[in-house]
Amino acid sequence: MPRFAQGPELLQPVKGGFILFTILAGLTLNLLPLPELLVLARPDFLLLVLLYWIVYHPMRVNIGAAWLMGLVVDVAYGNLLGQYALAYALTAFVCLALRRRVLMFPLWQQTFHILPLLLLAQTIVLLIKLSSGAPWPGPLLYLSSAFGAVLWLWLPPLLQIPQRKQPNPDPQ
Amino acid sequence: MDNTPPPFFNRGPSPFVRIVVFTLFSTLFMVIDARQNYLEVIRQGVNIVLYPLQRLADAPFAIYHGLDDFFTTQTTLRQQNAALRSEQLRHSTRLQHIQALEAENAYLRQLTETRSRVDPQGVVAEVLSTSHDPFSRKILVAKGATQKITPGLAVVDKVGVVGQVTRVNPFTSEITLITDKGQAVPVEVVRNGLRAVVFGNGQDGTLNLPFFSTNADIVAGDVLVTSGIDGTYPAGLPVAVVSKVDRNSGTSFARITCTPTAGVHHHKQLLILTTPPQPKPLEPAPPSVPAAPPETAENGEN
Repeated sequence: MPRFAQGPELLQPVKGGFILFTILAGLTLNLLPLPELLVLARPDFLLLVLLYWIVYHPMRVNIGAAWLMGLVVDVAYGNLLGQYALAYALTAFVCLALRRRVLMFPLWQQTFHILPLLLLAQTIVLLIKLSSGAPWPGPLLYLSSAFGAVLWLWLPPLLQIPQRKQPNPDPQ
Repeated sequence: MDNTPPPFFNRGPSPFVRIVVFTLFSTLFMVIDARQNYLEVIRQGVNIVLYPLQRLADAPFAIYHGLDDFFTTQTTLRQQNAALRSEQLRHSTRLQHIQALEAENAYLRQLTETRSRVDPQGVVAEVLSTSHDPFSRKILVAKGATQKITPGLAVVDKVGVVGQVTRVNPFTSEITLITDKGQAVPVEVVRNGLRAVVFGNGQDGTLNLPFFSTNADIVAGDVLVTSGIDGTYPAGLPVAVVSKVDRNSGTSFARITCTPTAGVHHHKQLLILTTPPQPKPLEPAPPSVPAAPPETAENGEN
């Protein structure tokens, strides 16, 4: 059995609507009104979902989509436009370069590829923020990437559920 | 021999080209957004799309609060009711005093020909979310341009100043808290009328009071209220209490730390003051009759 096949086979192609749905769901999770300490440690759900689609379907979701969602996040957070857009686009670029390698590994080893990607995105945002005079929010910030990498263990199986269903042989 | 791949292998521009283009775009956006207002159109557009998602993200918490309210026991309600009644009674007696004082104040101000203070009106706004970003102290409330909110309005809760409206979207507006890094509020010390400007630290629960010499008359426990000289915050609203004064003789300034009065994260509702505290600047006094002769006299001397 090839190492990168986990669980039952993928029986259906992915639907464009489902990709959009998961990205919007990730964005909504990022917008949850949480207390301050949790905001600091909250994983970037949107970036995780984007990374999943870039690793598994780079023809559908690519650097452009990541950049666009970064821009939306900038608006949602009330930031200077372009900070998260730059961070997401650069992370997507690195992820694209790594994706064939990532797919070779079982899930728990994939997390060690995802962790540096999440850290990269955080560090880019951090550098831009610090250079514009924001205070250092404390080392707890990096918990966010750690939680995000752990979440990756469940993300691909979850997002592949619709593809594992038997296709309806007799569509109306 | 033709080396171009067949069209079904066409993947568009290479990742490297894409990343260069998007990096340039991001940098351009940051530069433009920092200096100009051209990108407000994008913000407004994206915000309209984001509004349902923000509502959706807030929904579980709103439902929880709703259920919590619904299942309040009768005893709690009765206790609350009794407490509120006694509080109202206390307030109403004070209010009668205030009415008399207001009339007296208006009369005295008329006598001394000073401008009367404006009684600020407010709009209650529900807090949609606290800051999403660990770097900034901003909150989002569910009142926007459609409710005639404009940037620059002051925001208070029941005990003090919370912040200022900094960006208005169609249905929501963004409030920058006084604790945001570099946010300034002009204040005066209640005890002796000393004027100062208090600055946010970028941390929750602390404010800075810089530029006071080590021998300034300020002690821990002093109450700071808005002085109203900036024309943004109405005068007399509580802002902070001085918590620590560090007089190090090695430096020329005292390090003064304050605690904001308003508890920003504990409220679900805030009040946006819709009347600007000073609607029009003080008009120059009309040239009175005796003002003219000295000028001619001066000319005559020359």
